[in-house]
Amino acid sequence: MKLPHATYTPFEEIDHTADVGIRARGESLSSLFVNAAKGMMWLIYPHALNSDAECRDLVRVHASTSDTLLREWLAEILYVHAAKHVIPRHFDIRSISENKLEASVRSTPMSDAMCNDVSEIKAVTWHGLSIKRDGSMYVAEIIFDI
Amino acid sequence: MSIEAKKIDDTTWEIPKSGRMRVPGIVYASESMMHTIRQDQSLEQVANVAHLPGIVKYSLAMPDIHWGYGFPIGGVCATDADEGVISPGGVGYDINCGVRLISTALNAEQIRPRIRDLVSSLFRYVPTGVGSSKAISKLSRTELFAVARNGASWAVERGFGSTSDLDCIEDRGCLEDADPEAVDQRPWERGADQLGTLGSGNHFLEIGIVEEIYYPEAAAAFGLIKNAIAVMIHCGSRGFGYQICDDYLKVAQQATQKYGITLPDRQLACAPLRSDEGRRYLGAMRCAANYAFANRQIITHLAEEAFRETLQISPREAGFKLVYDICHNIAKLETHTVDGVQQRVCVHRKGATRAFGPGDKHLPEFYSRIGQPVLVPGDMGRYSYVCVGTNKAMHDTFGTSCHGAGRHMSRKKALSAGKGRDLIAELNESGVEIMATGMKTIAEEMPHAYKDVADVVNVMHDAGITKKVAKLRPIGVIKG
Repeated sequence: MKLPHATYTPFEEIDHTADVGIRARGESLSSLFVNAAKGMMWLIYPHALNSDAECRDLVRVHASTSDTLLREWLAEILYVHAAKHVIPRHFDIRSISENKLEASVRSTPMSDAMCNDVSEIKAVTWHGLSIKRDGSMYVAEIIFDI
Repeated sequence: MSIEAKKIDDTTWEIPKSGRMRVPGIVYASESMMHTIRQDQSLEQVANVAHLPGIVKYSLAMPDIHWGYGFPIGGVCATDADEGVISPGGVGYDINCGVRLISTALNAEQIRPRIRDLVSSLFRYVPTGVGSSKAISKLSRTELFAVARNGASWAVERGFGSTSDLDCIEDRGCLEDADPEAVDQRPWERGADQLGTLGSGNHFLEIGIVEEIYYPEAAAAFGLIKNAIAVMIHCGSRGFGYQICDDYLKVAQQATQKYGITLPDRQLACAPLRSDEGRRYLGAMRCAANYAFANRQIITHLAEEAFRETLQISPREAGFKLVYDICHNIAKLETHTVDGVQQRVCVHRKGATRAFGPGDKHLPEFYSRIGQPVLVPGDMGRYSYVCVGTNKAMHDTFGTSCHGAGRHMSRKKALSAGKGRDLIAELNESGVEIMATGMKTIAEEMPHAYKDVADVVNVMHDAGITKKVAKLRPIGVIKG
């Protein structure tokens, strides 16, 4: 049975002494990847944005396993955020398999005022990276270097 | 996984070799620190590092050890230059994150009444925070290549500081054989406008007072006088370094498979030093290290300008003089005596500081008799230390010591502990003026999120790895 969206927590912060991590959940790989991306961006910029997303990037990643694919996906979003000075907010996964993903990412440009309360994530690490099944759900854990 | 650590003496613990560990682990800690260390995965990470091919003698951990990713923070290992590997995770994403200390001709009485203005001015002069940029004009690719090849001397040639500064920087602010051709497109994009910026997280610029002198001869050699003002800067290679590490971790993942290396943690991915992958990473990593040296050199100049403008004083009256600049996150080819024989090794220092003893040929002549300054920042509310390297460090730890206080509280717990408190007022009451881009950073970096750096420094002092020289008390801080 497909769980209604509200019955699970899409992402939550997990403890790490030096850095920071998230546990993301999804009913499918696609929703897991979207929730992990939202979780990462929530760590960076936990505030609501009133302005519309104004720019769009097409993201394509491939990897040998689904957990590595998740890392590559998040690393790609992080690159878009850092190199283009934008806050990626909407993630539309067009196709996904165990080792390949194509998505559209829509972002809001960062104003100077927005920079004042943003946390920096330096990178998406491989440490403790996992995707597991918990009943009908996919659950992923990711540690970020900050 | 439970890791056994046997007490050797009051400051040293051994993790016996087991399973596929190639060498034992050695952890420097007091009894009470070990109680805390055992509560997270850092000992497991010391054991994991011992799996790296070509590792020599021990997998080491300094007393500021805490749970990192792959290597523990505070982790050190040396791998044989011929038979060993290099691990980008053993350097970390912020390549050549490091610290520099500047002595000044100013004293506490002159600065205390102006501290709020000074902190405010520093905050304007030195860009801080996420994606901070535009401290200097955006650089062309040609200029960036020159930064990557030449490090701090690039900055000096453009008027940021003087040639004499270079004598007071580890490796004179430039790692040789940096290879810009080994750096992909993305690091250049991210690094183009970030030189001269502090960044975020635990990076800071701090004004401190030399509060106590423990070793007068060394303090005199370092130009540290009781009650004088000193400036400490902590930052690294910004997005340029993060992207290089990320790019090469992917290369190392493939190399680990290609060369049939078995590791307990993917973050330890590595490549033989003599392989094409290993050589290319070394060349790219050195570019990031040089970028970081240039970054701190420019920030020093900006800080001096902020002091001069605020206090309306001349360069001579400000008296800025670089004491030393050290790397925290680095891998370097060095020669060490191993079992009585000189051996070329690649020393990975992940959250650890080079601490060469007296007489080492890499030290400038004016520090040769005393040893290398070792800068150990604490938290922003208490104190930092200046220590000096010893010959015992050369023998026991590949010339390495601790790099800071080390966290004992996660950022999540620190945020929770800070809820409902006026942390800025608390810091002000303890005599510290602070400016940051957001309250979240202040809450995450609050003093009690860190171990007491005095405990960390005392372990290294008691173990004979470094000697305490001076204690600095912060009075003004800017953070990202």
